[in-house]
Amino acid sequence: MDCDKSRELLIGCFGGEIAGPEANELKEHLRECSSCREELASLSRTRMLLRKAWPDEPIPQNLIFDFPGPRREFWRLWSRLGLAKFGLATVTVTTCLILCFLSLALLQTRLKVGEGGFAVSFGLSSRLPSGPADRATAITGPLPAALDRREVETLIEHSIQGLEEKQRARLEEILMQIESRRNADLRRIANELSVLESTQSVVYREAMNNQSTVESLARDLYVRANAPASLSH
Amino acid sequence: MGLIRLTDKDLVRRVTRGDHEAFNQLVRRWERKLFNYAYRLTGNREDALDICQDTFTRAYEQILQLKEAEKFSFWLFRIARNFSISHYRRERNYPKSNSVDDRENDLDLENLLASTPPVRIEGGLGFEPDELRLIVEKALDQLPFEQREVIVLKVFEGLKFSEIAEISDCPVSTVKSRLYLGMDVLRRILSRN
Repeated sequence: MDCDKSRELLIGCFGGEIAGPEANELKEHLRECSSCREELASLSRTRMLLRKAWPDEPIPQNLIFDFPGPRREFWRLWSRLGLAKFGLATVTVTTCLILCFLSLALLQTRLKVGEGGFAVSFGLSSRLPSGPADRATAITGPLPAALDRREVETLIEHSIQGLEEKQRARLEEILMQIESRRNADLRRIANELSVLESTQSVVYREAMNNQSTVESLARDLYVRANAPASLSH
Repeated sequence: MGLIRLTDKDLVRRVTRGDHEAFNQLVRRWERKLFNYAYRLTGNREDALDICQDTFTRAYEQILQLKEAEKFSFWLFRIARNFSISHYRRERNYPKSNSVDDRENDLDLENLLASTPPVRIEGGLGFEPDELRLIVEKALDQLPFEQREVIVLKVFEGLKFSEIAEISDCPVSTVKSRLYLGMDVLRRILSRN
């Protein structure tokens, strides 16, 4: 071993961290090389001097820690999340998010996801598609990544056509119901009129009978009043 | 108390669960070591005490970020090292002005060393303890921070090269190189005639 290699090992030996074959090699070299021996001795003397000159001192005053109250604990938790540096920005972003959610809640926003499509609606009058007819008007199938203006117009046109067909069918159904109700009412009125007519003819006949009876009675009374007294006994 | 017998790892776990007394136990265990480490890096008791205080405060705040609880002491030294570097840079940019008394008591290292044979200095003989401390302190002042730090950790704290490498965030070979260069400079300063 030469002195250059020895110098590399000397510092390990100085630090007390050399073992095995390297330790043996260094030991062999130091036995022969007075220069390296003096180097190691000089380093050790310097170390002794340092330790002697500046021994450990007791700490002038024991450290006292007052542990955080609830408020400081909150900020400590905040810093645990690594957000302390961006506290203001984080508070602002959080507030904005809360406001967004509140706005969505006030507008009664509804979001329905399923079967590869989704539907969003706002307000009280909106109704999410639930039945098969409604689904026909909703966007179905996988949603394209991006829609151009023409595709959007086509989708809107299809939706409007679907709505118009549905309204037309509903109107026809209502008209048919009205027609059938009108016919039924007419039939009922005709029946009632015929009953009234027959009742009136019966009443007329009865009135005529009553009149003839009254006339015959009146005639009998007149005859008896104008007959002779002997006849009257 | 039973906390004295617990390892650093167990104490750190207790601290993460909110046990303040466990943290005080860690402070009591490491405050002296940390103070002497900071004192030898800064050469000033008050600054060293401030660094200790700041280090433990930072450690308490960030203890959840400590991945390996058994390496608490190295992590602590590393925090103290960062504070010491900040102090070192601040002192280099804005050195404290010595008072009249300080200047009167200040040691003229060059004259003292020039008038003293090297053998006597190396042995430390013929000097009062305070005088000798001042000589060593002035000699350490001549070193770059990295070399001074490695010498403090190896010679005074007795750490292994691998542990110093972890604290200093550099390879073991660099630690050895810094130690050798630093010791060589100190030896030459203290042997000057």
